[in-house]
Amino acid sequence: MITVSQVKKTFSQTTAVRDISFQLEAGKSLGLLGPNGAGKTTCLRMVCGLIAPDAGSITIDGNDVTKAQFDCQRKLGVLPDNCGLYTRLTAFENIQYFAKLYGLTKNTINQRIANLSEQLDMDAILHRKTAGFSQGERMKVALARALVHNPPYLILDEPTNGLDVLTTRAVRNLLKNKLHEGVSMIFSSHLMHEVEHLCDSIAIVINGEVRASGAQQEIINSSDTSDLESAFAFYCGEANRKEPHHG
Amino acid sequence: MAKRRHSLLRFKYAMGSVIAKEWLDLTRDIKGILPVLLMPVLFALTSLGALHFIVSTQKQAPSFTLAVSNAHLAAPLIQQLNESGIATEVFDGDDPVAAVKNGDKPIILHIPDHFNDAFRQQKAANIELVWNLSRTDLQATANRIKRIGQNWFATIGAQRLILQGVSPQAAQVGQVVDINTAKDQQMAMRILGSVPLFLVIVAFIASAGIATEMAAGEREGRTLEALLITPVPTLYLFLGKWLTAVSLSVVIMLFALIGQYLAIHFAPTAELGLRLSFSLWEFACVFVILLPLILLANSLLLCIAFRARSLKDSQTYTQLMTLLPTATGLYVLINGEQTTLQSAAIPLLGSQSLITDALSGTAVSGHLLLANAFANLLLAAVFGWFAVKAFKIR
Repeated sequence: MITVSQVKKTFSQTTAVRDISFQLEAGKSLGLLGPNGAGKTTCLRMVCGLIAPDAGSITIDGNDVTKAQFDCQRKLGVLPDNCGLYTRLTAFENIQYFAKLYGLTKNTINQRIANLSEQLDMDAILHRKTAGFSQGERMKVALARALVHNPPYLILDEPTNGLDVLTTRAVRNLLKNKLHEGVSMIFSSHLMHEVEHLCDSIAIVINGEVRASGAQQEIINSSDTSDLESAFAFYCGEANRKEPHHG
Repeated sequence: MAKRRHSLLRFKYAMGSVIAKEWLDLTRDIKGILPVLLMPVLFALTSLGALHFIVSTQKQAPSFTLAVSNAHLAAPLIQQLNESGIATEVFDGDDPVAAVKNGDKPIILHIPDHFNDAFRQQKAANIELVWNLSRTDLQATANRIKRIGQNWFATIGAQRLILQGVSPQAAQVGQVVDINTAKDQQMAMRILGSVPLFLVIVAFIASAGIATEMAAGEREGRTLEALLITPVPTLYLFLGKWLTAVSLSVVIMLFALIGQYLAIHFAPTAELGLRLSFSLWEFACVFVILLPLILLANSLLLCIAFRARSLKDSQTYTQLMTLLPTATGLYVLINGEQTTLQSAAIPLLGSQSLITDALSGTAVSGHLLLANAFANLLLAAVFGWFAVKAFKIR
């Protein structure tokens, strides 16, 4: 289980995260829904141990991320909000490099890459250098890179951003399969339908705070609206009324 | 304890993976690696070319005819100049100074109108050598003319003393004479002074582009975040990159040393009257001196590249690093003193000084080597520490 409890993070004069708390239970998926600049990426970076929170705590299966960083990171498969690849290496070599950093053996690596390539329909591009890859192809390689060590938790920061319909479907199907296999997932997005399709529960993050959380229907009911998009708009409007200086 | 050992093994495996990946990346970056591989060749050709140029300038002594105004007033002196191999011609212009200023003649020996009178009256009978003292190419010729003239005056003076019954030795109490203690190899090193500079520049810039690519390139290419999420301490990720840069520098340095060895071996130094025979042992000694410097240079380069905001930023700063060895190299070249403990303990400068000593055939003592290595390694560790601290998401 991932537990995020009252975390705060400030960068010099800017407070990126004011107060975010949520829990992700094993085998469940959580959608972090929020407008651009809401603090989702900073929050996820803290979960990954990339930056330390100024206050609050984050634990993964009872281990504090700041104290047992590597034990926690080993359990995470992360797709950052930008999927940079080594352009002089092939897709296979990119995935293989990260698999080695996770300590996998050669046979395991080859087997896992073959499986992921099949699931993500990557066979045609697997041994091509990644320079000149389309956004969809890059996303597939980055996703395979995040999944190669079979992590029990997936952290996905806007994974379908800029993807075409077919690639989005392929990614969505793969993530659904992973959920069925018992993998837990935190999914950050500002796209309502993505969150609706994939997440068991939702946390609406606005101006570095969780404004509402719970199952999709609970959030809709709490805002007295008829759909998730309207509920999201309601909470965004409410936040703006409370803090007009934020826009 | 067992878990700790297991973790350490895993981290070392990860470090090995970083090195393997970086080398793979490196071998595919033809545009990046080609200038680095060409650098030792260019430096070797520069050394060879410089030596050939020096030899050719020594061999082709330009024909020179000294213009003399009022030559008839000092015929014995002119005869002495001719006998010493300096051809003369009559200058019949009015103004020798103007003729030299206008570039009509490079040097004019002017015998003043009152020369004969002063000479007969046994007063100071000066003659004038008119030339542009800022022209270094005329320095040797002018000095030669002055030396012949002074010898001639000294001979006349001695004859006058003999006629007056005084021993010429009485007038000459003594003189300062040069005794050359420099070995052939040391003399040659004054000519080959650029060799230590080239080698240190190689240590500093062999991996500059690669270090930039490995560190700032991760940030620019947006792969840094994915890399830092892996369960590997940044120290080991850094060490993997650092060892890649160091290993590349070592390979390039070996090429550079072989290049310089061949350049000196095939240069016609014997025609300069210098016998040069650098042994492989001396080059091995130079390599040992350069090793700590290579470690320092790569720590510094990676530190800069990790702290840089972008690839361009990093390239700008690493290019500036080439000025460091140039500045200290020029100091060593001009200074020419043997290395002391104080100078050996100055990173970079000490290395250049020790390399000059080693190539000059001067015995390099162990304590100087140790002092230099310690200073370089200490600084390498400091820059390494700063690099690891900068290896993070901003």
